Amino acid sequence: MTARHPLLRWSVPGVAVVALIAGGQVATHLPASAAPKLPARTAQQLLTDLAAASPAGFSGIVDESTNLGLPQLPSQLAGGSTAASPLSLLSGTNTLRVWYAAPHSSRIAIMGSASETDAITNGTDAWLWQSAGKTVQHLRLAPDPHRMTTDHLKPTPNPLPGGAAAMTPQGLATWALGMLAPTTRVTTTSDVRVAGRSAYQLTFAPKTSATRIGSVRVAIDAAKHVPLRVQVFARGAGKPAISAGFTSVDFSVPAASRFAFTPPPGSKVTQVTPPAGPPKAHPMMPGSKAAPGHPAAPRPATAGSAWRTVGAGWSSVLVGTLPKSVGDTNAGPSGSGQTGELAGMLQLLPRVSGAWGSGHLLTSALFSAVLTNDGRIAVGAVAPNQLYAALGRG
Amino acid sequence: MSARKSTPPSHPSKFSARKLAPTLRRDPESSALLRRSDTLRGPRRWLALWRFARSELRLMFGRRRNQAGLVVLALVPILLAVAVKLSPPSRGGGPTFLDQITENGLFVGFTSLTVELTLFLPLAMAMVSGDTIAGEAHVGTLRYLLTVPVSRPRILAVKYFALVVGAFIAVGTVVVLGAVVGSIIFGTGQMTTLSGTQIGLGAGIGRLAVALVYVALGMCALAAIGLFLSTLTEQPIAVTVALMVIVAAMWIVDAVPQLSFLRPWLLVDKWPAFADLMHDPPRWDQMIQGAWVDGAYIVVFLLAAWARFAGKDITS
Repeated sequence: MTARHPLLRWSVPGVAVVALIAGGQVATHLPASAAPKLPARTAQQLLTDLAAASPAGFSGIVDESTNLGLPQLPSQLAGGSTAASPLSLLSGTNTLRVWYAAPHSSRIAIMGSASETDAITNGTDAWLWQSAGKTVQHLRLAPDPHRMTTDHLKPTPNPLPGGAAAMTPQGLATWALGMLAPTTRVTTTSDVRVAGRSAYQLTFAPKTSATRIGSVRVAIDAAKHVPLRVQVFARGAGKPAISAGFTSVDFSVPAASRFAFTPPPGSKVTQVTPPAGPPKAHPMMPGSKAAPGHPAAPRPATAGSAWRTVGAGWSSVLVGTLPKSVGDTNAGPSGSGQTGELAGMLQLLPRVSGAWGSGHLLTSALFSAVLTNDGRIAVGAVAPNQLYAALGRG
Repeated sequence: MSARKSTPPSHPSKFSARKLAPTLRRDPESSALLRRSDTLRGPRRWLALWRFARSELRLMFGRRRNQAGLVVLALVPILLAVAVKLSPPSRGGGPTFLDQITENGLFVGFTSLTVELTLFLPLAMAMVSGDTIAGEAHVGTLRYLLTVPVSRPRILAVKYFALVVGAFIAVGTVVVLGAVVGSIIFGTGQMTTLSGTQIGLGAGIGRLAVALVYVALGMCALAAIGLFLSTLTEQPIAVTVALMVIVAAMWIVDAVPQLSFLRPWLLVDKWPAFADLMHDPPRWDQMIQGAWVDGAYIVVFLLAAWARFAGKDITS
């Protein structure tokens, strides 16, 4: 420390800065760059692994980032700038904490800054807790809660109807490959490290070029065979438009108390009556965003009579009619609450018109949507022209 | 310690610090320095250093403006608790945890931290760090301080130690007073976490204590910048203004989405992460990252302060 020379002395903090910046970079990027060497497995084998995977439980932190090139959502609509809400998953990056225990207990917590939204199912009850506003929605589950299982936790195409247990994993894999074959190339790509674990990568790429989706990549844990990360790439894009993956994961079974929920004092509890049909998964299931990308994933809305699909596979377009309150874009922003916000936002979208009518167009890296002035809507992972064609056909 | 060589050469005994330093620094404790703390060994050396530190602390807390600043810091939780009592907030609005206060008074401590984190606490640190070197240079006592046979790095260390104590006392005042006033007005009991679960009073106090330490660590990092700035100038007010400009600039950069790539390097970015403690289980990753950033700023700016101060010509 006897550095008399100023240059020598000043070099000490300088070296410290460089060392700390380099250290920080290494600490953040090293785990991601080290690609593991795993014994080769085919796509068929990986699908078999995936179908056979039945972890007893796990917990972890999931980072989700969406970069669709969408306009920024108004903060009120997204639940406030800091509040965590399901809508906030549509843009930017989000952190979720997930817990799962077989057979049908799960807890998903969307972390906001100083807020949290929790979706909890434990077989008998489903809770939705929002710390901002301290609201609780409670749904007593039907006796057969099988549909409330981890399907939404595994953001992979699970194209199988109920009775899946009767089939072998190999059979399932073959069946899935057969289903996908006409539309999709299923391949493996380089192994990766996700959440500090070695993982295989399965790539689903559409065979048609009519869709905006380039590929869907699923990283599958080499040891536990559960999906660790899902990435959706736009056509020709080097960075994923949607990425959801574990940053840390622990395969020990979480305590049962994690899936119990008692509304805290002072909270506002709303009882939700179960829908008439088979219970849908969480209203905020993280996998739902990826749904347009998965050819095999049934679109939940197609059940309604007002909706129909035009085309098939990746380039299919969903056409339907919106409820009057939302669809009436001429109502202007005077409407109340979120509907008013939504209508106001629609006014900001570019106007388009053609033989099919006129309306507002929303385009993003992965999908396009047209909302016509008479309340019809067309959505698809395609370019706007195909939406217009689909609308015109209706 | 070899650093002794960097102390200024000895001075004529007529103007010995033995006479001047105590009177000018208006603190009889300073005479303890003159027992040549660098030549002492073992416990006596530490005792001498502790006396130096104690005199420094006395100077800091003896200043009227610092006492007034502490009162301002203390007023915020009281004001907050009374205001919430008079008109309970609607759900989900206002600063973090504001709507929780009516159910558990401990949340006054958390909310006060959130409220004071952006301006009042950094301002307090800016005020006291301006006094450290620049303040002494300004009133002309620095040269006398340097005449005592304590190495310059050690003077810096003691100055920084006083700032660290100041940071903990400032943050502690806010948190403890907030928790006590809140408990008196609203009562305590089970705390509702952000995850909708309930934790006991002991766990709540524990988490509040961790929040205290975490925020104080951030303030220590700010004080390190302040100490460095203080070695650059002889105007304490310049240090205060510069430090506040730095803090404000960091908050602005932090808020601009287009500059989000800079966020990991900003000191203030992870400061509000103490709110993660109220998740259940507490979420640590952001706070650990924040602690690393705090530590990096402390290391860099203390080294920079040393690099500047060790070779500084004292002209005032």
